Amino acid sequence: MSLPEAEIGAVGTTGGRDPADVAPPTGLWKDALGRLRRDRSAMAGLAVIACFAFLAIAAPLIAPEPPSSRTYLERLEGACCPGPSAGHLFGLDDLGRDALSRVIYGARTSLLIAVVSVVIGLGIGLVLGALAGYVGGAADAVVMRLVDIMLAIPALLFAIGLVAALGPGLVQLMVAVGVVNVPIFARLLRGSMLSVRESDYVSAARSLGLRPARILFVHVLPNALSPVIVAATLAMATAIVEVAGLGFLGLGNPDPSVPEWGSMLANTPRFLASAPHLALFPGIAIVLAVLGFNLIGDGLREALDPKFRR
Amino acid sequence: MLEIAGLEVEFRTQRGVVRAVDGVDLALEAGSTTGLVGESGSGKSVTALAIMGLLPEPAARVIGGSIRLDGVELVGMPEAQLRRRRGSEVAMVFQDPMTSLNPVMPIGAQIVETLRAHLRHDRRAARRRAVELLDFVGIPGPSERLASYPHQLSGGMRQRVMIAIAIACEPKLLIADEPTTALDVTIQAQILELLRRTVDERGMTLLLITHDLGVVAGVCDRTNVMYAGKVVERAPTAALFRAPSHHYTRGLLQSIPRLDGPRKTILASIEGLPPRPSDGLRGCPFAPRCPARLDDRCWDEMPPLERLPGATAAHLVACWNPAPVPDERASA
Repeated sequence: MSLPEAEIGAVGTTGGRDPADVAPPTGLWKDALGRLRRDRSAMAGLAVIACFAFLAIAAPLIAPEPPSSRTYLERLEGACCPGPSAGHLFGLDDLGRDALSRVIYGARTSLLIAVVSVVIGLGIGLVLGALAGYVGGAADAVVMRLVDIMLAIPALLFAIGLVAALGPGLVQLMVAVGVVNVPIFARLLRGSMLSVRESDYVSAARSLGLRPARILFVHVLPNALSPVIVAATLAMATAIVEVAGLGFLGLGNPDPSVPEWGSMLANTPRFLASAPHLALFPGIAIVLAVLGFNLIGDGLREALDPKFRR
Repeated sequence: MLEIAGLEVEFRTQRGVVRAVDGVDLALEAGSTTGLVGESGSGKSVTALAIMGLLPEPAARVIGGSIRLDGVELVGMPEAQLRRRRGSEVAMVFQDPMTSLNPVMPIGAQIVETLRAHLRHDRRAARRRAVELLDFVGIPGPSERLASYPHQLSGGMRQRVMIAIAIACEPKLLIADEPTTALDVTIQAQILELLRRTVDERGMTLLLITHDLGVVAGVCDRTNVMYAGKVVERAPTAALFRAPSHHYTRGLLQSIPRLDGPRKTILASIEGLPPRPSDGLRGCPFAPRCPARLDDRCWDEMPPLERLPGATAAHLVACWNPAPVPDERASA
């Protein structure tokens, strides 16, 4: 069989290999991961997020003090909020708590809220998007009008309203920030499902008599998911900002023993002139985390987008 | 084994209703290879989709006629029953192998999936069968190839895989819709050869849809020429090439470039465009472009598909003024 072997010559996905040698199977996702690994800025973003994740997980081991332990000595001396010193690298806050420790513990809350809220948003958004994109018809019309209504309300305002309705608390915060993302995910998934549904391989799957559920879960969804994954990564960044915003407005986590970056900023304007470090360090943490997620998201977009493929 | 009678398919578009298939009759004998030839928009692919029950509803629907597979009526059959027949009794090979395989799924899994949808194979048996199928369609190293993803295969290899998937459950009828159009010429010949070997060795019936008369000449016993949703000429392939009698068929054959003719010949073409539904033609749809049209009759009345005078009983043409059959004795 010389002819098919000649065809194999066109196979080479890994340059420089002997064409007759069968290339090891690499899936779409493995390919994407390979491209992501060569993307320096995405890797930098991943490193930043990995650092924060490590801080969050190992907070009790790393933080010099528990988040609510107070140092009364300085307060007695009458100086509010001493700045960075050898004993307290990020200084002390107005209640005498170690700012470094609170930033480290804050990574826990902020990352947790970001991840859980995006998962909540994804869960609801994917179901709605799949319903609209695959079932179509009346389901599509109802879901998309609902999505339009949700999108008409500014995100932060929407979250504020939800927190106000649900009451204070960590879980309520996650739900509020998550629900804000629902219309974005739903709309994205619907759009990409509409295009995948018309693709040749879906027609081929139908022509082979596969069950509709199988076509949906095996052929349509995996191919429609990549833009949503990118959006979910970017939504983590938005979620951190939104949580910080809610915290700053006093709608954050009400438990002071669980610090959170946004809430840490809430008190700072009063001391901004005398103690700018109180705003600086949680602010830097927020900026870095947002930057990290954005870099990963942009890298993922390029890695998953066929237009960027070799 | 497949009998289509008076099939009519309509598309509802924003600019009105388009009758894509307009009274097509077609009979395929078991084990035969039949060609369906026509240009884009002549209704050949829509006919195929109607047989599969895969018309893009609700925009398109069958409004008349019947499609019987081994005597069982497919028009109006509930979707669940149609689905069970798709893949197991009728299967289809699509035009573009580059986009017809799921890009995120290894090819082995795509074959196994089809096998398990219709046959009660366990995983190991299905895998074994997948290797056999890949071997049959000429993929070297079939057991290693099971784990390959579509993007690791060339176009010709992918079309081989598509054929392997289509024949996985031994369908009685295989429909190939322009199976070689997206491939380059050397690979085309291989794929056609594979198709012919497949139907011969497995006793399948083949309906080959193409716009390329050369493809039909190489593969099909019988050929149907479609124009504007109608079959305008039907004949054993050899007879059709020897004595094309519908003026559309003649035009198609004359517009094939020849290597053995004088070098500076201007390639013949058929003047004009196929009719649009808004043209409101009553008579023969080819009349506006026909070099041999009769002034009144061709405009007013659609000619029936009838036996061509002076030809074999199998040679049918829908034309009021068909080109005469060349005298066999004179040419011999």
